[in-house]
Amino acid sequence: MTELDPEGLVFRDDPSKRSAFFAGQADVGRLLGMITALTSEIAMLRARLDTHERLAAEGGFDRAKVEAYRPDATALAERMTDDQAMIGRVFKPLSDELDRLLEEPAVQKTLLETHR
Amino acid sequence: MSPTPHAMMPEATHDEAARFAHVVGLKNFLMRQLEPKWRTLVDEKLAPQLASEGRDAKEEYRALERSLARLGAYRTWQQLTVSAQEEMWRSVGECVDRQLPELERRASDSEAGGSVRTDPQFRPPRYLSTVDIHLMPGGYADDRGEGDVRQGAVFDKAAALYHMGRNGGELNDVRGHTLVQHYFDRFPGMTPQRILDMGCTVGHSTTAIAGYFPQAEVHGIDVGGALLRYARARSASLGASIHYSQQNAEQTDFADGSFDLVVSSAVLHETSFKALPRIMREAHRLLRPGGVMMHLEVPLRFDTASAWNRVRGLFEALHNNEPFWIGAQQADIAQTVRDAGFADVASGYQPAVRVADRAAEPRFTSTPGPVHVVWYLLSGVKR
Repeated sequence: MTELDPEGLVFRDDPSKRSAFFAGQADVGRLLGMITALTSEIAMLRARLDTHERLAAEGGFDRAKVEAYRPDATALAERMTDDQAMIGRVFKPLSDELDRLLEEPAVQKTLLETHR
Repeated sequence: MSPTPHAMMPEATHDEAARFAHVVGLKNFLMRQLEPKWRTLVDEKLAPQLASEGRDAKEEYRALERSLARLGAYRTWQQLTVSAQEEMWRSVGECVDRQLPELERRASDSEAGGSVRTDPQFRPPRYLSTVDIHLMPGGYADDRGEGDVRQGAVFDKAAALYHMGRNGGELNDVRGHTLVQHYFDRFPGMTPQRILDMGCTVGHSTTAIAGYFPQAEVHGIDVGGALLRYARARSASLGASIHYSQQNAEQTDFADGSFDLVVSSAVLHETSFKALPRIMREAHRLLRPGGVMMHLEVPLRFDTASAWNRVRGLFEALHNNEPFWIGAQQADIAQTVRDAGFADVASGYQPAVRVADRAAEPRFTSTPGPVHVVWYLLSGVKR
């Protein structure tokens, strides 16, 4: 259902349910949710490792020093670049598929045919 | 712990802060690395092919969306976009729950000014209660009873992540400053004594506006008790005494002519065709003669949106739970304001500012711009 109702509102067919993009394959949606959460945990671990390395360079660390550490602007920018690269590697198959679609007139033709 | 901009902001541990930074990075990747490829596919590859057959991709955006949804890659992008949003709420919720008793204590101990009035009988309107807006679990109205501030803390912490820092970092107040700049641009000689912010959530804009008019009595209304209790304590810790109450902007309990200035900030797109004229008429009732109404909104219009932007808008409406996203962009809100009886109605774009300046050269313009760089502003005067 994608038409606006008389109040100008639009809802999923069953607004009480979560969005499902993989009909009959709910596990695919769940798997992508799990990959998203896993990527977050990897990012957190990488940040923690980075904290250890930076504190080690300053003379050492213990748990309290790690917990209290906050990256300065330079360190934060380095981490963000590192994180974007990690995300890019994890989701490369999707990005590559998008590039393929952009270069593939046959796929675009199919899209327009299914559109009719 | 990270330094916080005010006493109520939940503190993030080392690991929580790392997760927050990552979810912003993931959203950035989905929005800035992948989404432009969909835009290119739709607007630069598919739309011209349709145009060569005399058809308009913009008009056929719903069919295009259905066609894209046959692609596994599109469904994966959709799911990841939803998952990133859910991950944001999950990670923020975990951070807030860890320290909720302390936040509730701070909210109740706060002796600084302001007040909060909740209504246990209050029911939010259908456009806010049918789905959890922005996928925020529980929605704006979530309230676990007396003393609860959880949804306010979650919303405040997540808002800076949601806007990816573009709305003034953790204070999230650029829209408030921009509203005041619009007031200074259009009404440079005026100083309001009583101000109402409709749909104030945790008082991001309300508090910023109050800072310019220290003599004014400032009120904020919204639909959630937990939001409002948090808002009062947040404003108080930033030095502002603001009176918050749980009310529907379509019909409030304030007396006729109570205010000199009635505003809202990115609220109208969370309402409905039926609510818009009611909100405008209520604002008109609440203003004294000569009083000013101003609404700030996202600077997007459906008629000028490309085919991809329409497909993206449909995704936002259906899957980020923004049911009025498209309706609001189609509505002639300026006409609704005139119909409500306002004079000197102006609509256009106000460049976003971090600090408003009464002496600044007016920059309110008819030239659109990107979200967060400019905001759509609509204002009128009650005669």
